[in-house]
Amino acid sequence: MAPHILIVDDDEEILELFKLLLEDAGYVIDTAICGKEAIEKATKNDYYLALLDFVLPDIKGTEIALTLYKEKRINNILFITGYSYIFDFIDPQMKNKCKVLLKPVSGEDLLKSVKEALESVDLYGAQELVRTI
Amino acid sequence: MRLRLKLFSLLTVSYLLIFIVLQFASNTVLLGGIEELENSEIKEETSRCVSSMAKKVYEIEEATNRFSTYTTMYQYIKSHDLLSEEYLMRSLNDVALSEADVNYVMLFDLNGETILSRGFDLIGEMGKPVPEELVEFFEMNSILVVHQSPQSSLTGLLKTPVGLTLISSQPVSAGKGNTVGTIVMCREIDSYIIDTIEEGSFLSFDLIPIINQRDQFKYEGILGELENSPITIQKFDEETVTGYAVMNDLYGSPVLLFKVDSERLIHQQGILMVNYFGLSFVLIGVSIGMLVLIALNRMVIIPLSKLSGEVADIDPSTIGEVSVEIPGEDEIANLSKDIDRMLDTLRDYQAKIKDTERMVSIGATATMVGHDLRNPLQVVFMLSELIQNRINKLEEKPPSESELQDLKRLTSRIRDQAAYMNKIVSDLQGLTNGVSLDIEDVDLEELIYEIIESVQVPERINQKIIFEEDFPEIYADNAKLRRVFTNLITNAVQSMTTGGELTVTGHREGDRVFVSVIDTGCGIAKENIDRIFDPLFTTKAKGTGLGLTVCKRVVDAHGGKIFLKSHIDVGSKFTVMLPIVHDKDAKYTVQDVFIEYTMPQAPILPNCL
Repeated sequence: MAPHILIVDDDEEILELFKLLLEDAGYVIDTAICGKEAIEKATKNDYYLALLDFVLPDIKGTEIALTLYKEKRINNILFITGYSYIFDFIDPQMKNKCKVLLKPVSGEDLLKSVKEALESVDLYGAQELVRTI
Repeated sequence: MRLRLKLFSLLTVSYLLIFIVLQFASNTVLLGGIEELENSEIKEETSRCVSSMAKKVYEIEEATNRFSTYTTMYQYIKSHDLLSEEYLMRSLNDVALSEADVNYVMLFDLNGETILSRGFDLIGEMGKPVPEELVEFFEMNSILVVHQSPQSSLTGLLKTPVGLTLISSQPVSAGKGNTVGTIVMCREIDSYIIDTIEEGSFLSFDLIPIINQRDQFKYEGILGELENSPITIQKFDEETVTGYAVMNDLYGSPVLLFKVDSERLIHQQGILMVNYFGLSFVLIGVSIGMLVLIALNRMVIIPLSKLSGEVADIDPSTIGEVSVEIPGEDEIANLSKDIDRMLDTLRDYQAKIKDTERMVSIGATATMVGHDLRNPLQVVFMLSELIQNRINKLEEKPPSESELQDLKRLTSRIRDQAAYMNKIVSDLQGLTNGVSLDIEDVDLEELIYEIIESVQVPERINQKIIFEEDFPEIYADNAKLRRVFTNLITNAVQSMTTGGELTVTGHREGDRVFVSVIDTGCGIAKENIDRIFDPLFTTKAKGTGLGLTVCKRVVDAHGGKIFLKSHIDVGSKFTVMLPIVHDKDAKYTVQDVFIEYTMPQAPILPNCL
């Protein structure tokens, strides 16, 4: 069965396009438009990977990540955000469990990062920044 | 004003203190000295009187002594014959008596019996008989006329039956060693002798004989004082000072009182002087005090209040060009220069703070652009990739109608994103540029209908537009107000994701209109109400955080205000207050305007509707 991925972003258009891209690549995608919905869904379902925006109307992406990690729901996170200072907000114990992509990211890069993240959990340090464009 | 009062009080108090000290000093020292001067003056006058009298005593003694040496007198007392009497009378005639200034001359033998007596009226200048009682008096008091030795002599005052009399009694020996009798010469103390003494001493005084018990009683006090000192001074009033001295008779008891009256000229002059001194001190003190106050007022208080007023007038809007410098070299001028220097420093800091604020604002803007432009960029990115994929597929086979429609839809989405990014940039420019108004007549009701038309309110939202019948046209910038209300109505619509009711009301109060945009949407959280008008603050996914900031600036520029009432999950009410006639002279300064908002009280909608 194809890996399940949860995408969280407050921009519906981005959600739609990410979903389209990743579904084309064969992943099973769930989306959430806010932090609350994201935690609800992650508690109910099992995901291999979560793609999190940083700025959300209710809960910050980094806080969602920490909550999910502590409840042992997901420990494989990919942040996709426009804020480069997101590193200041990532909890130290999370640093090895997540990777950051800065918007705008190309479809190719996104697919590559998702693939790598799924292949090797805990391989990427958060300090390693993959930046395209 | 308070400083003026303090200075005035200080001057008055110090002046009064000096005045009291000086008045005390002048009264004790000056008047004391004057009193001493006055006393010594009257003492001198009194003693001059006494010595004039003493001179008279000496004169009568001299005269008696001269007569006692006459040989004719000696012969006459010895012989009693007529011849010698005739000789004697030649030298003892009226002229001789007048020259000797005596009233009576009497000759006594060794037994104290009267041999001869002659009287002379010094005023009438003719001879007169010696009163019987006087002769008897001397015969009774033989001790006065019987001398034991040729050298013995008695001269002095004596109470006699004719009154107080100056007598001189001397033995007649004519230088022959043996005494044959006694010569007694008398001078009545009458007004004539007083005149003589007065003439001699240039003084006016009274001679008061103390003859009987009554006199003694009357002058008891003065006589008592005179026992201790030769001269006593009495001052009964401010006009006259009286000096007293006493002369004793041959028995040693006081018989003649000298009373010298003198005008208290020195004392009066002294009093006058002290009074003039006090008066001139008051006048000089008052005038100097006023001069000092005027000078202090000019030199200190006026510059100080001017400086204080100028410093009080300084506010952030005037600090740029203000200078409070007062010309001169004194402390106030220096203070003003110091304040100017301080203002310079403040201006420097103000400029630095402005620079810092600008940098912070650039940083915040960059952050905002970083985030807000990246989302649409992300979409554009992916859409263009998607379109690229589709186009790649087109090379394999021609597109169907639906595929073409799909492509068109995708490209139009890119255009939408471009438009959104354009809005972000415009909002940013609207925020950074100043607000200049293009004033015209605006029908707000019509404007609201147009806006609701253009924002395409979804079906799920009911709309109500309620304007008062006589809602006036206002004088404002139509395009900018369109932006304000578009923003507010869009916000209201976006807050009601699951449907609700949008109400826009308009009413007039005096010279102002109030337009409220009310929704039943998600509301604004308490903690966000404070920040809702802050630049870059947003709770929306696609918000720039600039919409409400721009709204507020436009309304501020019109001289109006935005009020906000909101409660989470109940709804929000934004009320825009605008003046009907725009005040063209109203200055637009961001500092003057502040946002008034009220903390929401649930449920609020019954209140706002």
